[in-house]
Amino acid sequence: MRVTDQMKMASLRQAQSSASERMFNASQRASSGQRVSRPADDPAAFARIASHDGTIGKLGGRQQALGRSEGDMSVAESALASGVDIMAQARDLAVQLADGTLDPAQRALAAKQVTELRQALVGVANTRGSSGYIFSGTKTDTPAIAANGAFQGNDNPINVEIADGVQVRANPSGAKAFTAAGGRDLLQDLSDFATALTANDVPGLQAMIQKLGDGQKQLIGARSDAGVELDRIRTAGTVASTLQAAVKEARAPDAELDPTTAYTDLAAANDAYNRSLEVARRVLATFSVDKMP
Amino acid sequence: MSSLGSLMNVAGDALAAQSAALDITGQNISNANTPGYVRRVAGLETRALAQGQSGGVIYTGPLRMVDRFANARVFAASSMKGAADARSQSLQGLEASLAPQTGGLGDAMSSLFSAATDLASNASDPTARATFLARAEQVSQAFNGAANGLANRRTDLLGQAQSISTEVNGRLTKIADMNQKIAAAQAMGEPATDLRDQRDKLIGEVGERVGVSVVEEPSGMVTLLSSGASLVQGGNANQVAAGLDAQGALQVQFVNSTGGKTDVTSHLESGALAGIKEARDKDIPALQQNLDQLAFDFAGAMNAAHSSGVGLDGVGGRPLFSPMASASGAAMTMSVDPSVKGQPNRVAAAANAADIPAGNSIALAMAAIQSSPLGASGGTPAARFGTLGGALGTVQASAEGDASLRADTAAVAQSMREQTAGVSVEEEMVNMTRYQNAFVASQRVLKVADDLLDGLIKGL
Repeated sequence: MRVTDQMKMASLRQAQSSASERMFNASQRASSGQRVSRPADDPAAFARIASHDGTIGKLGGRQQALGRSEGDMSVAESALASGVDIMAQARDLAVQLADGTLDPAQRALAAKQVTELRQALVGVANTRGSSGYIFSGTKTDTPAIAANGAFQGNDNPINVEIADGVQVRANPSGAKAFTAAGGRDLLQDLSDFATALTANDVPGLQAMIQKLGDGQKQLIGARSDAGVELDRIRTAGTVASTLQAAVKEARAPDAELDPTTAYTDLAAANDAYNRSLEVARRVLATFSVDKMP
Repeated sequence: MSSLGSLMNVAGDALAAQSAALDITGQNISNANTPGYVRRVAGLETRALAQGQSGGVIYTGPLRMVDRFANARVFAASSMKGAADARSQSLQGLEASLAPQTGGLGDAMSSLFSAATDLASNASDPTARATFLARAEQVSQAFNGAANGLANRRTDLLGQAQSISTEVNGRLTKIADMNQKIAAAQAMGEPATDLRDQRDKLIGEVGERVGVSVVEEPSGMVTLLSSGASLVQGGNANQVAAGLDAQGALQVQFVNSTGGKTDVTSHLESGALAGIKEARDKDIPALQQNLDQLAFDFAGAMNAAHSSGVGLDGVGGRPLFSPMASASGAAMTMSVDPSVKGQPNRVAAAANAADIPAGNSIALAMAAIQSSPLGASGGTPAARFGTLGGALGTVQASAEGDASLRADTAAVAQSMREQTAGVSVEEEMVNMTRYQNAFVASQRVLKVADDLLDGLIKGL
């Protein structure tokens, strides 16, 4: 084959350009740590990465939402526990004061205590969470119990997604915890209790023992429901976190470059670049007019 | 019968011939790096004399060492390379508008879903509502930006095609002019080697831009054909005109001197114009269609959920994005609907007025779109975005691979031509020494003949 000067130069140029491009790409990958920096690097991997990113984002959002719901349900559960205590105190008082030997003055004094318990229960029902009144259903901007003791919320749920297409209620039902919708109207019962005490109505007081006991059970049931939901929300949060970690792991082979491979490639590219420079130097050194006859 | 006179003539011929050969060698060396230069070889022949007489050498002129087959291969290969390079370059950088590493369409959609999830957690919160609207705005802007990026690239490519046409037209005129000069020189017995070099270089440059095949006539003129039509015939050059047809696609026409036009668009297969046509009217429109369908399906799904709920004012039926009649142009025109734009309290998170303000079933439904198949094509929004980016990557990788392959093919063809036509300085140095030695020896012959003649004259 006849070799001309332009062929030699073109060959050197091509080798140099190729080595230079290889080193540029290797250094870019090594410094970024990314295997795919643009779709053309690996179109199929890019599509998988985008899909994984969507899932990771979704699971991240779900964890945040579940975290907030968990906080609100914890507050609700604690509030309901306080409510249970209040109703227990009220029932204990009813048992004590239903004794016919006590004098009316003692009952009148106890009526004030019951009124305070009722106020405390109103406070429990009007507990606020991260987004307003927890027991008001979707009317979170309105206290569940009005000053006159009327329930002014609703029983509509605020849900949270725990898995694709699966939602659970993230607000406890104030209506079922405190009003007749759950069996007993607790605030009315406490009012009736106070009235019976003031009126020294011993038979009425004896009847209140059962009602207040039922109210206490109603709150225990509501607390139990809140606990179950809280547990589901916590579990879902853990599942979302585990899933997110799994998706990140599945994404890694497509998106991230193994550091050992990256630095090995860079070293190899660097060697190739230096070799091409040395070859060019030698070829150009042989190409000397002084050496011609 | 030989004589001292004829010996002197032989020596004189040799001096002239070797001197001419040295001149050719000098030309080759000085043009060793000149693009398009084809090396010359000094044509030397024995001078035919009368019978019984010894002949000298004559210089018949420079021989241009061109291999027409190799030349044709170079024209064809560089035409294909021109198309592949142009297509690859036309698609370069599109990921910046369609699928950037951060802050692009995928991120914008993901952020909107996160905002919907936040809204579901706290539907009465004005900040969550305002954030949701701002993210919806970002999504529409991301779609607009991507669509504009693709549309602008198509506009740029039209300008590029027109500028290539202008470059080609200047060269076609020169080729036609050279055709006439070469024919005139050839008629006078001159080889016109320099003009042929220049013409071949121009033909190569035209070929890279529109793709050509060349037919050389006995007169020395060439006919330049492209896409089944003539570009140059003898001394007449047609002009290339690039514009748009009624559908907005690139149209390439050859215009003759009387204004007659030949539409060659559908026949363009090589040269940069073919690559631009492929990228502008096939690759990019496919991406635009994909993007528009995604915008249409995404907006449709979000609107279906949003319009089924009510805002804090209790009013329902408002779409989140301005409704679009069809997918065509959806990405470009996508925008947050004026009925909710700048009105966070009108964002529908609750299903009905009774659920206000914390009802979140609609916010949850909008967030759930992130996991749901969109439209008839199916696939979650993230998967659809991945498919779109993957389609861009596939077409870019294919174009880059083709460009690399064509570059290799062109390099091989170029190398084949170089083997015949290229200058080897080492070879020329050897030739120079060879011709120099022959010149010096011829001087000696002349001196010997002169000495002999001088001796004869003095002996008389």
